[in-house]
Amino acid sequence: MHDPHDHSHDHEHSHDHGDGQDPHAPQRDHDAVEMSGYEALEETLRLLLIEKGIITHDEVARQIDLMDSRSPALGAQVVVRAWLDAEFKGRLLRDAREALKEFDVDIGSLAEFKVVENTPETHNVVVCTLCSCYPKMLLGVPPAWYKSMAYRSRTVIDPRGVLTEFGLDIPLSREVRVHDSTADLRYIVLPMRPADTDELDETALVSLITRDCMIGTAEPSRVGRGA
Amino acid sequence: MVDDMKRTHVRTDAGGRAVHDVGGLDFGPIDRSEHDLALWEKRVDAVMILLYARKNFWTVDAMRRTIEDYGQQTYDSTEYYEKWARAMRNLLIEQQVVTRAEVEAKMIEVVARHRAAGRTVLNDAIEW
Amino acid sequence: MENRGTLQIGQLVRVDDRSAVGHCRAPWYLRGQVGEIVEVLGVFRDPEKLAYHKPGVPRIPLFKVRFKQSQIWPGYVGSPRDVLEADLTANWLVSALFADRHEKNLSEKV
Repeated sequence: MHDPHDHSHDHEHSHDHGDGQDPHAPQRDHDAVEMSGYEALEETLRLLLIEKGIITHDEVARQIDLMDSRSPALGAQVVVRAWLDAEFKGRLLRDAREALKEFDVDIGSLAEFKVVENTPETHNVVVCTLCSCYPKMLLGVPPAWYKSMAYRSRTVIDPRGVLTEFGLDIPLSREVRVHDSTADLRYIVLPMRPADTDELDETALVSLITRDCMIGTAEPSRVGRGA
Repeated sequence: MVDDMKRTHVRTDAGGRAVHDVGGLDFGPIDRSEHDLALWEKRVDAVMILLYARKNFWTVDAMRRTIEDYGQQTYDSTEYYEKWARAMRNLLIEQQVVTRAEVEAKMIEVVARHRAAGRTVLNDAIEW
Repeated sequence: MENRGTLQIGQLVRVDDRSAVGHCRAPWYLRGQVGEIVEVLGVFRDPEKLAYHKPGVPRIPLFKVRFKQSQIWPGYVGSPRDVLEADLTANWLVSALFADRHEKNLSEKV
């Protein structure tokens, strides 16, 4: 009933990303004893579309592979390049689409990307109050909290309170700038390079940058990373 | 976790605030727990993107509009990819790619097959 | 709305305070608020038409508008310098000068 191709995706037991984050909950799959009606609906629609020749198993698998290949590591590489190369940073801030071509990232035709830079004067944070717009082509799929009603509703009215929940306290002397992604632009925050990182090489710098740093709910830090 | 009062009183009688338009409301503390997508969620994502980005059956705007058509109670109580799956079903029917009868018949078949394999299928009546 | 084609950086605009019929991307919390255009983002297909399978043309100008948080939210807790930016299409923006004059005219008639 199920092509083995698809199943290559559901048994990735090794979800230890080694980044010190919480262990991930296991994926549900068809070996589970319970499934939701929505899961059955997904299968229903996919099988119908395949029967009608509108999509193929391979296309679905390739699309899943493509999204799986997108992760915050990609965004982190872009950030570090911007830290190390002022000329690149300039181009990234002016025209992200063009600059990202160097990273082999085709951001597609669906949206534009915009990189917003944190400075000593300004801290940026990104939200989408109307749905969950997110720069998937650079950061992968958004975390559940980014899509949550709590984050979407509160970040615009109480950004500092939300950031405090994430463990980030921005001094009142520093402007907090919220970006509500209401239209065709997807936002990525370019965080500030932490002090005392002059001796770190590119790989070490990349490891400082988490997904949340590029959403604006965290800042890169050497604290807690054995530095 | 979410106070039901907060949920329900804010978008009724608001004179035009739609169900998805939640900026400035208060849905309580943020659950920051991390979890990977389930396989079926990745598939919803993949098929939806194939349909709208690669094959131009509709736009992301039409998908949003379909999601926004959910009533508030269901909007608030369904997960992200549940909304997508229902939107995909309704758009496929709206755009006459499949018929409602085809979807219903195939759904019965899929659910029956899983039940025969010993699985419990919860809430297979998906609101329109 | 004869001023729509003339919006430019630095201009104050008011987000139209109207109820939407059908899909729209102007958030409720910004309706009626005054902000400053900080970037002209180009022209995009109109989401309010795309949502109903129409081609979304003519393309519609999109602007980045900056709002003062303390103005949007009464009792805003934070810094007076905190801002919020949203990307809004021309059909939701009215020159604040024009809007104020318009409202004044209306109130004078009453």
